[in-house]
Amino acid sequence: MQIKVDFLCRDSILAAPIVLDLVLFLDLVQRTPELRRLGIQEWLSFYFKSPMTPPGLYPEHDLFIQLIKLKNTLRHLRGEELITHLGLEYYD
Amino acid sequence: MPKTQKHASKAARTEKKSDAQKHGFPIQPATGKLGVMIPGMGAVATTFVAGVEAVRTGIAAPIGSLTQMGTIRLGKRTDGRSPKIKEFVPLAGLDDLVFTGWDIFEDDMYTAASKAGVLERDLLAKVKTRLQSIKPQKAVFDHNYVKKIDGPNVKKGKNKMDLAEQLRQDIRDFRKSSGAARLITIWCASTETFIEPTAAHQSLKSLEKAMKENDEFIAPSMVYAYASLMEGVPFANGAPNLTVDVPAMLELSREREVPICGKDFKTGQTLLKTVLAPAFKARLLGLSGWYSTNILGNRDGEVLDDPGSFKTKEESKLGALEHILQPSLYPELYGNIFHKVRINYYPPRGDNKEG
Repeated sequence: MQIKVDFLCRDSILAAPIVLDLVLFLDLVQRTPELRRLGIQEWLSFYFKSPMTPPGLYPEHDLFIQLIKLKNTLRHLRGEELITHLGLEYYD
Repeated sequence: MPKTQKHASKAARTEKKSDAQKHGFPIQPATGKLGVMIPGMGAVATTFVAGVEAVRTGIAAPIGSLTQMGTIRLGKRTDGRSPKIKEFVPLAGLDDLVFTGWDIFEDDMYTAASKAGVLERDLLAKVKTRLQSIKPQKAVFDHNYVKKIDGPNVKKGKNKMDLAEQLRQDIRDFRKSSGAARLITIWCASTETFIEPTAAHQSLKSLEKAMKENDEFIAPSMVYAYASLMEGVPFANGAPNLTVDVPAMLELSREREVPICGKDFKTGQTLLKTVLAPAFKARLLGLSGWYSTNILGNRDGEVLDDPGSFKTKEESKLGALEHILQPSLYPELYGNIFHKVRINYYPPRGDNKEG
């Protein structure tokens, strides 16, 4: 099996919305003691090729795991239930 | 006895957490202006600022931005609650943003954006006044770290600590002149040559000593990061440079409670890689190799034409597959993958990258 992807893009146009999101989320962090004290903001891995982690912890690279982490962090901050996608409760 | 105490404190922590879980954690409101400071006012930075201005004036949509267009599901699938992210958490609005930056070239943002050739002239013309008003401050630059480019708009200082002091003064001046309530630094400048952590990067004390002694392993990006964190300004690293990914910076970040994140914006090829690789891994489909090639002609490509800068980029791009596929758990599927990363600098391409 072979897969070939020919990806044509304007790199800077793909980067610009990432810059905007990071600016706004980092600003959220600096107003939120619960996150600010942690140093590295691993929940923003979604935006990075080579996400930073503390020594001894490997990074999550899978885009969809990264997105779940990001959204669950926001839910956590607001006291909403984390979404695990277990879903057994719908069949009770 | 100590054991009981430990349990008690853990229970107390859990108790506290569950309370916060119910009601959420304290977040200060996003009042006042948010100042964005960008080392490297090239293609990425100018496209970002032009984009924000275009959205602000209603001539473009913030496509690709989770904070502007994204939603978040809350509660059960049957609850029908999916607010916009920006309505769910208190984020600064686009109208609150003010910008500054540093660059080795003297071009204002409009001129730099025109030269980068990313956005259409029509669109740039509509945000021209705003972009023209943003002029770069003198940059901290070391030709040894970025061999392919050089420019005139560069700070001079007796050592790296002195350069950091100059940046800190720039930050304080911008805070005052812009009236910003809060600031952020986001690195949009070039990929520096590859360096590994040395003794100088192991603690804040050794870092500061090395800066004063002009240690060759203190990269310009580290001088920016140090200056930002010392001024209490969060730092995001958009390049694969080592910068804040060393113990000394972690120490500074945690000690002062100033957040950091990085490295290297996941824009094109790696975005696809981190979507495709998990699919193969999920189905346990083995791989014999992965050939990643890039053809590009912008300044990013020019800088990466240097072997030292390319090595920094290559390390960043190689790591993703290794971590997703976990060859140590699946030696027969992923134990022997040939992963090739190539970057071909071809000027006629400009910012139109092919991967």
